[in-house]
Amino acid sequence: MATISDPSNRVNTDEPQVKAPPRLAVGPLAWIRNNLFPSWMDTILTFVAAAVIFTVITSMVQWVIGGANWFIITFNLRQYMIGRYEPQAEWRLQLLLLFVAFAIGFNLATWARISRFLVIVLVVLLALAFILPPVIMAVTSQPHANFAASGVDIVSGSTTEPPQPQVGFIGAAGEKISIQLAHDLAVSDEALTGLYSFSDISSNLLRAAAENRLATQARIAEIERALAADLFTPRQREELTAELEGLEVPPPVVETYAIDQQTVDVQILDGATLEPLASAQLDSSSPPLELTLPASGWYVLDKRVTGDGAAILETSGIYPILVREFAAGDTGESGSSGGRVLEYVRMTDDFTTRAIRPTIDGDNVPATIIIDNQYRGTRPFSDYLRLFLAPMLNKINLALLLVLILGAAGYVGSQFLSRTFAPRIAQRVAIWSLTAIPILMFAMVYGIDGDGIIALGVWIFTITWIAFMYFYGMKLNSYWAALLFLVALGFRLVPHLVAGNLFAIMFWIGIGTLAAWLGSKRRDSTSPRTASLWLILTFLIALGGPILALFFDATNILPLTDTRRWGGLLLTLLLTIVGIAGSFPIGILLALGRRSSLPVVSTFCTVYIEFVRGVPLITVLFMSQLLVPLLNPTLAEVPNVFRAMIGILFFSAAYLAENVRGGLQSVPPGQEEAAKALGLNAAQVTLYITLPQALRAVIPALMGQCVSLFKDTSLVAIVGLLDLAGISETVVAQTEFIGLRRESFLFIAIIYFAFSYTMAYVSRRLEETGSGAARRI
Amino acid sequence: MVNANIQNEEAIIVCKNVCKWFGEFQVLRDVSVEVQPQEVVVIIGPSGSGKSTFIRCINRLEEHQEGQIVVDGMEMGHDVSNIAAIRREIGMVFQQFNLFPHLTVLQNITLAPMRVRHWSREKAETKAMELLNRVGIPEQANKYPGQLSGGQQQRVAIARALAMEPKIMLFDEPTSALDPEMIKEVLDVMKELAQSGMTMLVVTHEMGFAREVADRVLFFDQGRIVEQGTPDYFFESAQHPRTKLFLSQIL
Ligand SMILES: Nc1ncnc2c1ncn2[C@@H]1O[C@H](COP(=O)(O)OP(=O)(O)O)[C@@H](O)[C@H]1O
Ligand SMILES: [Mg+2]
Repeated sequence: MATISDPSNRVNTDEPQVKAPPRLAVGPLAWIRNNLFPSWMDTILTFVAAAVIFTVITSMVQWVIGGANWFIITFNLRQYMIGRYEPQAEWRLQLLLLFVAFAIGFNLATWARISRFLVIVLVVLLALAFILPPVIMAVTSQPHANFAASGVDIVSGSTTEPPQPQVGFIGAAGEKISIQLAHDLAVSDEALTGLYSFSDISSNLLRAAAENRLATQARIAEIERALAADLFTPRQREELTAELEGLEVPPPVVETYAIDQQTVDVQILDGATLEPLASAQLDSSSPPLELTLPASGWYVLDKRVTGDGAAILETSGIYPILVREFAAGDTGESGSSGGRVLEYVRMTDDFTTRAIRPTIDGDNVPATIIIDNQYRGTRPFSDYLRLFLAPMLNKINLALLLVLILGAAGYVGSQFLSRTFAPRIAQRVAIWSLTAIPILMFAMVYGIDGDGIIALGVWIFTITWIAFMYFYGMKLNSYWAALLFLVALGFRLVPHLVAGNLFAIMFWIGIGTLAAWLGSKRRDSTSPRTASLWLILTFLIALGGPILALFFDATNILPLTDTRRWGGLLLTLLLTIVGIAGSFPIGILLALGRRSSLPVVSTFCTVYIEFVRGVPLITVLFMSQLLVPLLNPTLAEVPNVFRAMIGILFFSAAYLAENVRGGLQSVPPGQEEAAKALGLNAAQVTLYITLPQALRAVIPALMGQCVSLFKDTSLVAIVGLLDLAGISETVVAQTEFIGLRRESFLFIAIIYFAFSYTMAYVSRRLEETGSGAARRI
Repeated sequence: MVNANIQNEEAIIVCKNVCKWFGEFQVLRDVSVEVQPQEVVVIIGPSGSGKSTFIRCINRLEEHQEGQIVVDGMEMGHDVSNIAAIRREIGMVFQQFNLFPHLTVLQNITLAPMRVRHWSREKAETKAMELLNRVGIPEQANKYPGQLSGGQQQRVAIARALAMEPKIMLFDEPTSALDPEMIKEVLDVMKELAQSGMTMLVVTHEMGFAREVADRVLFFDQGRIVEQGTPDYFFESAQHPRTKLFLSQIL
């Protein structure tokens, strides 16, 4: 008999104690120890990686703020976004954007919850977008522009620039111009190299000359130091000595050109009459010459140096301009007819004038054209804010506000729906709104004409009709049948439709009857109420489109736009979204087809999938451009964009099919058996059981494919379409923006990244959160 | 043979000389059974003897190649509408539950009544809640299968099959994938179902259940029915050496 004293029998009656974990196992200190410096090898890796990140980021930020010329972005923003889309149809895109914002907000609320933190971040960002520009304008001073005035040619290296006594500029009425000598720069060559501003060629040459001189000086000092250290082979020593002999330090630039040593006669002339408006003789101690411009238009700055030297003027209120030229009438104006219109835009604030450029003796006065008057030198942060950040924010903040408002409206709308009715209703609306995006997008961007509406109406009618007849056809009593007959008659009253379509209607009525006969084999009962709803729906759809077309003359609501003008982000997104939306059904059908037990179907699908997957997208694009018209000449008339779109669509469908097939294979066979045992037919089993699980299982792959499709659309540039990447190429090819390729690339890279990352993020959330999670037993 | 007074006209399931092959291998050899309405038939036999294959033939998850299967007066053949009609009358519960993981418990149960019987959502959901009450887990209606224990999942699976209001229920080892403490809750549901008069075909190794509930026990070996009889006869005085061997191994 075991007793309690037997040590192998024991009962633990102690209350379990709760203890805090040891100090070094939790908290930030533990995190740092465990994640950054767990071993000496990891410590080294941490430091190396941190150093690399730090270097890359600092140099990048330095360039972004100090060096890059973002005018190319602010100025061409519209092109980057929508290419050369017709301005009078732009409202459609805005409306579309708002709808998309609403749909996104709605879906967010339906499927996920956004954290308070995100809301705060968004609101703060939005507030900043509105508050920052005026604050920046108030706090920072206007950037300067420098102009050299000289009586002699200015030389640096092999470049020579003769003095230009006059330079034209534009300004708005009421603006203040001030001009003085830049004494700070004239102190020494070191000071001169610190020049940063919009500067004309001459003053930039002076700066370059000073920089060269200082560089030479530094090199000499370096070689001398090296030679003194005595570390070289005789041959190296010889080379260095030779280099040293070749180097010669010229006299300081400030002295060569006697910068700031003489007086400068400065005048501001009216651009049209060339009458002087203000004048002064400036020397280094005189107060600035100031003038308030009397009217908007052209002015001329006249600057002359009396002696042999040069002077650098520091002006504020005079900024580089860009010339735009277009055919009269292209802007939608009626006034001027024929010829070319020149428009001058000030880069810093988009001030625009069409005043005639001043001429002297029949020649154009040189002007502050952006090409010659780039921002030079290392830009201070304040100039970055004022020149680039504030204008950019001003351009986008209103759109941002509207998008956020609509997004919020969608969010609230969904919550309202799920509270007042049921979450199921909100979910249904959410899915419909998502489905509507590609269709709406296409309709809004391209437009719908009357024929389109009617064709659409006929198609919807046809499908509804067949469905209706299949489900309810044989339950009709004579009353409904008579009504149907009237509907058919109603079509006769719509002239658009009747031309050549009577046969089609008879045909579809025949099909409908067939469907009714097939449907009658189903035993199930349905309520007469649903049947009549369906019937009324058919009726409305069938007649609604054509009636709309007749009464409102649909051709004027959404006229077709010129597909050749589509471009930029708009085109990229259009290709992506239509590509994705179109390839989904096709891809799924291909996947099902490949698994089909019918050998002909599965062979066809397999061959198609394997063929397309074995061919690069470029080939498919070229094929859709060049080969397809050979099949049927009428296909050549299909706009380029659509052919590319179809190419992308069928290309992507093949990949999608393989992904979906993988998903289908991952669904355990028991699922299909259980569904069959419940009496679901083959289509229902696929639709409700296998396909949803298969798609959920391959969400990461599908999203990955969406992302790569999004990026792959950049290939369409090759067939002459100007998507985001294509537009970037054309923008940097303009003379005004030559040399700004880096800025353009960085900008589109950021856009591509923002969208790709968002898609990847959504995909991750879909996998994690309830609504999309594959719930394995 | 016992139950000699069974008349063909009354039988709800009639199998005559059913044969089936997987490739060259004959799984079912001339299986002939008749099942009366409200009868509970338990099928036992060693693994691989064709029990699953046989009951899966009854609702055409497997196709038999020879012989005749008539369910509720309808011949199971290649006629698609017959198959659909028969499946509507037969509910099936699997060893692995086979709940649909992407649907909630409620959706699992209402799917088939709404899509196949075209019930309204309200009707289907009322019925589903009724059944969940019957199997004892009404509070799990809005959870997903992955959130339930094995026993609860199997009870949902039973409710799902019952939602179609079948005349016959097939069970293929419904408790074999369950932890011991969950077996009882499932068996209780099945007993209650049997008492309510459902026609049931149950493949199981739960001899206690067979003894208590079964009207008849079939013993399968190598694709044939080797011996059958009432539980009393079967467990007390089985004749065939295979049966005796099998019983001695598991009892
Ligand atoms: N799909 C199949 N293909 C080939 N052989 C199968 C298949 N399904 C079952 N079998 C074989 O048929 C025999 C009977 O299987 P089964 O009916 O599952 O037996 P039980 O359920 O009695 O254990 C087994 O030998 C099994 O290996
Ligand atoms: Mg089995």
